Amino acid sequence: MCSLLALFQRGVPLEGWTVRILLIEDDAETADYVLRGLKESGWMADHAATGQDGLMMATDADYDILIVDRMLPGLDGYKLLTMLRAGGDATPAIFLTAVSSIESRVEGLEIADDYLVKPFAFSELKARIGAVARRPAREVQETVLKVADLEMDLLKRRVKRAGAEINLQPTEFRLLEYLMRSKGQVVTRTMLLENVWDFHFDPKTNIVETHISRLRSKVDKPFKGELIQTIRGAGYMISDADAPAS
Amino acid sequence: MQMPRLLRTAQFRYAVGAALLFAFLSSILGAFLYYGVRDGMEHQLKEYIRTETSHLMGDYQDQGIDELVHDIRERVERTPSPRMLYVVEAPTGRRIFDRIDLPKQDGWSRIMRDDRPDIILNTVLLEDGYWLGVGAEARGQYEFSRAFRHFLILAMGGIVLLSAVAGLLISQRFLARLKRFNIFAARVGEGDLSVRMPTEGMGEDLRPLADTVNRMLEQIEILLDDVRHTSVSIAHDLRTPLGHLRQTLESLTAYQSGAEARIKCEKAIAELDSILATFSSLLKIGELESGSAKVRADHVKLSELLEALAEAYAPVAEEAGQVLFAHITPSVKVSGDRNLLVQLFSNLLENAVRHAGAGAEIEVFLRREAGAAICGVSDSGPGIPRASQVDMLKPFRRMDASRSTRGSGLGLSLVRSIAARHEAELSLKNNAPGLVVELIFPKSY
Repeated sequence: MCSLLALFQRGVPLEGWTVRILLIEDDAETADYVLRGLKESGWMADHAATGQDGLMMATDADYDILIVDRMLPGLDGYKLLTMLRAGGDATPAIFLTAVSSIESRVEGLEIADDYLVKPFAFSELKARIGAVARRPAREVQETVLKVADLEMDLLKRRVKRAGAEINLQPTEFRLLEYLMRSKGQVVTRTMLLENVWDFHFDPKTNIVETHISRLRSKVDKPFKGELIQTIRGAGYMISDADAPAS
Repeated sequence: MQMPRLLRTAQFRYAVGAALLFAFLSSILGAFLYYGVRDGMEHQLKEYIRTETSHLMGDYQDQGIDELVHDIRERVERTPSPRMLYVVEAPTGRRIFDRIDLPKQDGWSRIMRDDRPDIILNTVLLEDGYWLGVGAEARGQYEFSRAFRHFLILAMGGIVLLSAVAGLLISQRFLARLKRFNIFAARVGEGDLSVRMPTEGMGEDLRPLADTVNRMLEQIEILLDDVRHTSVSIAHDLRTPLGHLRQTLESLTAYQSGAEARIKCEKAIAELDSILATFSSLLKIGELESGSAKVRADHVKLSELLEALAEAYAPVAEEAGQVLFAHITPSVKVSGDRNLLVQLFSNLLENAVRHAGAGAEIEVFLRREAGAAICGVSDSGPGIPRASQVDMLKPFRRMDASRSTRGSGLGLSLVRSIAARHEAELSLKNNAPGLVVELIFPKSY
């Protein structure tokens, strides 16, 4: 793994860095769509159209992230990743798949870092690449999360902003925690549903929006500077960018 | 050459088979009877011959060969036919009385004759080289045998003939009923599912079959109706968002660039997402109902799951002007797939939030009764009329009033499929006012 990830661990945003991504996908149209998106995001991307090619390229070159289609002719994505892992390669990987059953998702997450069901929006994939890339940071046991003047004490389960204590419901706390852990990264609605509510389906109601709006009314409204931003067509992000200089 | 259809039916074959078996067993019984009677008759005849022989031998021993011959002559003259048979053969080979070749040995013998009764003969060697033979025609035995043979042929022939006739009759009757079956099946085959198999005059053997077929047809009719309704609904429900999509894309061509185009694009994507969501729900229901999806059997902490869902949806309800509260018995567990159960209950909660209207109260409940977990969601909204309640569990069934609102009409179908895979009993009830959707998990921990 290259030293770039070490930078992510310190919270350096992904944009603008030449992250090397290997896309292993047999469907030409999806591959085009993803490759274009990756390049527009400023990342370097290589493409393999078969499992064998993918395995060879992943072994030969040093990639930061693998995006692997689950169903590939010849060597399928699951076997490919199993072989890589058996060989000691721990490069973060995201599965792309048309198979949406919960069973296969659980199975996939045993060896991959994330799992995305087709069809998907590129913004979703992009956000997940961001999340996966900075995942190793979580291994460091943090007890206090900070964004600008917002502070979350994970041990005491307390949140303060500008020194004032904020009272949060359990769900609101989990939501804020997830946002703060992904500081500077876009998190999508689906990522929030999966990680905060453990929902692996798309609810028809605006459950995420409602909770975000409640959270804002507690975390942002009474204070100066909006920390929780809505990223149009993508999701939400918490960052110090809009915070007042303290 | 093909046998006529009537002779090829199972009924006919059974009848003939039974007749042959009966004939075979009768033959064995007949044989026992025949040989028993025959032996008895022979024994009696021999007894008679033995007595006669010992009388003659008494005379011979007292007064010699001449007296013996005299004695026999007397008996021959005295007794009319049929009578005993006597032979005295001199050492010279000269025979007197009846012309029978004596076997040159002491004891019993049987002389076979064609078309006449056999002769049973007792031969004795006398002291002076003479042979004495006393015998009798086994007439009784002969006649009995003939009679028995005639009887056997007649009886067996009769049995087989009668069985064949009976078989034919049964076979014909069966074929007639089968023909009714066939006519009926042909009508079903032509697509008329409303016909029912006639059960009158079918007989007790075929009536259960007719009943089963009728029940099957009823089920097929209902299912087919569902399928028709579902496909019409798919067409209808997908045409609306696809139509919107088309309009959006069309209006998009008017814009060269800028924010307006972007908004239109987002709208188009949202429409597509709703179509895709409908398809994923359909797929999921299909997977669950066909049994191809594996359903985990973990211990799911139902109380915690429902608490969490109540907490998640309370703000959503509040935003819709409703109050959501929970009555949940703590630490109830059921066996199942956590993810599917989360989806089940959030579908119920979303239905309540969407359809109960502002000012409604929504309740999430869970209690244990006799080992079963009874849980669900109730609301005080407009509810569903009793007549439509069963229908609402089917795909794409919606109250007309809610046709215009968002939602695929698949929510409750998915609930039903998930409940079925967990062997939970699902029911819709009146909350007066409002609706209760209740699930009973028969086993809880």
